[in-house]
Amino acid sequence: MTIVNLYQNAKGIPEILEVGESSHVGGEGRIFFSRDGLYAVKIYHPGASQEKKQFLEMITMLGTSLTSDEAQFLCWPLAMVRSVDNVPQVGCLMRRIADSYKPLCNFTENPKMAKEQFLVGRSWSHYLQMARGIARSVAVLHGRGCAHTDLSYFNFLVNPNTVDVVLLDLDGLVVTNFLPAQVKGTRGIIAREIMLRKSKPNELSDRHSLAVQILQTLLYRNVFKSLTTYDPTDPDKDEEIGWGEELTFSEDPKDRRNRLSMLGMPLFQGGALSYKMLTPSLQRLTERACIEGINNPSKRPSAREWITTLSYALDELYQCPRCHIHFPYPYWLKPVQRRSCPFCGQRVSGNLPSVLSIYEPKSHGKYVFAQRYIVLGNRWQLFPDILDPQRDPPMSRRKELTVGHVEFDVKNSSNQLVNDEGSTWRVRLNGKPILTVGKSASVPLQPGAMVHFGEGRRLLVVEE
Amino acid sequence: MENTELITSFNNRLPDEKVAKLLPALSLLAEDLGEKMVIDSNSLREILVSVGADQEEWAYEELKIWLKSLDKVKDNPNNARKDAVIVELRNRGIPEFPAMLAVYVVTNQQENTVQIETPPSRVSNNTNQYQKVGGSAGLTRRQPTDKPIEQYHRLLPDHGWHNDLGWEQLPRWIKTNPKLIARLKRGEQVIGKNVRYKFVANRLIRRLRYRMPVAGHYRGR
Repeated sequence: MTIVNLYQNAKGIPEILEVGESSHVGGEGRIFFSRDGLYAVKIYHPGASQEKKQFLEMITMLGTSLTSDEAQFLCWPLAMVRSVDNVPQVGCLMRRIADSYKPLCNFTENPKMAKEQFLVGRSWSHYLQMARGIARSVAVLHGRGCAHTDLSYFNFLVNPNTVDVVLLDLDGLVVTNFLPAQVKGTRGIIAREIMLRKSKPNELSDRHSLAVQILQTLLYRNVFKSLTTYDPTDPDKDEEIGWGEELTFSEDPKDRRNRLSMLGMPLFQGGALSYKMLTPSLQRLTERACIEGINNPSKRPSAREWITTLSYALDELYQCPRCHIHFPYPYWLKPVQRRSCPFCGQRVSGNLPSVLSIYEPKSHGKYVFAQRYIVLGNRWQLFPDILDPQRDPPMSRRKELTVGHVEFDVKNSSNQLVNDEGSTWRVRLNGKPILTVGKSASVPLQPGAMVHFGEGRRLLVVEE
Repeated sequence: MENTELITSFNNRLPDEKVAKLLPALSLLAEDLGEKMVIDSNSLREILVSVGADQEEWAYEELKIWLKSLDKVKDNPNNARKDAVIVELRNRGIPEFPAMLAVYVVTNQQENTVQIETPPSRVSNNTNQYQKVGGSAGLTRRQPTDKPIEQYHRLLPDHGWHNDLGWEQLPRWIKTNPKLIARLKRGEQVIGKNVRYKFVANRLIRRLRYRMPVAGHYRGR
């Protein structure tokens, strides 16, 4: 039985804690779980400096500003360790994350792991939500002026059922000029300028790691993995060069040295997912992060941009009728015959979904294209946040009421948008007078149709 | 009245790029305030030199506003006042954590620092009157020691005052400036880019801006 004494620098934290045997040992220290199952205690290896202690105290203090919602997905140090069995030690106390959470690497490290998840009923849309959870946790840190510096997939825990993500290892945060970096990070996700020692870890280098992690989650591979040997005599040096000086995006159009041979082929046929399967907005972010941003950190997309774009991508999904996995409906590929499932290769055919572009209301009754699309297939629902210009997409729509839904009209062989709300919609169809659509009435989603949902709300235009 | 001040400061806030450029100066300012240094216009200019913003008049004006805010917690660091100053700094565009840490540094260094007033002129066997500890709510307070004073500079737990320098190693920009030499002789710090200089126990010591080097190891497997 081990007794941990804690400093009383946080409310509601016990002064004394009984912990079991150490459950994990890492480079920095050991992790113990409290007997009551509520807490995890990290004890640094002997030799941790007083400076580390001071660091921890500052970080613990910063954690008091988190909202209760943020504290759910950031495993923040809650208090500091005074001693272990009356021996002074450096360490910190954290909330224990439930056992249902597993490291992100268990789901995303390679396509095999993803296939295992698909076999138990999960879909690529779950991965899209995981990626958004990753971006959300990092966005909170960046929004408050700090960086994590080690966004490896060992530091994210995921609940595969709820797709909630928790970020760990927050005891090494960087706040420029206040809390300097203590580690470089994990090789493979470190930004090039850090590998080359041209810069110290900061928010911009975090953005690189975030992009790598998001793309790993969506494509099940590290998009910078080197396929070239730079030093056949020294594997360490070889990696150092491959992840540093010669860091190259696997799909860089001007440099094909890391390009996979089966890139773009269906995943279930031994292929590798390409970033070109992502929505156009996600493709643009990927290019900024992985091509322009390699040597120009300021070009890298922020965590907020990733959240928004990943959220929008959730409205552009289509379910493959053969393998039943959701993927971004490739409306940008024309003709339709070019569209296929990136997982099983099934051509898109049959009852095709409708693609609608979204327009923002501006003054004097004008509308501006929001650079955003929505894909509505049979039984898909329209949620109020899509129509509300003041709202960002929520992290979950489980409790949201629907504004409308789509039904496939077999007789006319077209999708119908059914009004589920009380307000009346006005619809302009090509060359026809304006229709009004009340509750439970429906409107055919014909190309060119404009659906007006009322003043101050967004406008939808049917593209195909 | 305070509300009016807040609104005014919010309205005049700098663009984010300018705040980001000036942000490194916040920690220097907070440290100096925490060490109870007298911050005059020269000190502000020195801080601006060290962050490469000495040619910008807006930077000087903004730094004065930050100083005015942080000064409020210097002598009366109660929680309500700390929170108010954090809000003021945030209204100037400073992100939340740097604002919180600036207030923390000002208040906690004061609580735990035994300030060096003047450098001793000769070696003595007195107990340590010159130790300086980092602010951490009493956790890192060093106990007095009876070590001879010439060793004190090695004991200074301020994570980074190190490297005995000779006069000949004093940078030229200090050597050629009588005002800076006078400051050093008074026991005050002279701030340069990424480094500070001061005398302790008749030794010139310096502290690097980035106090802890980035470890050269990798985490993970």
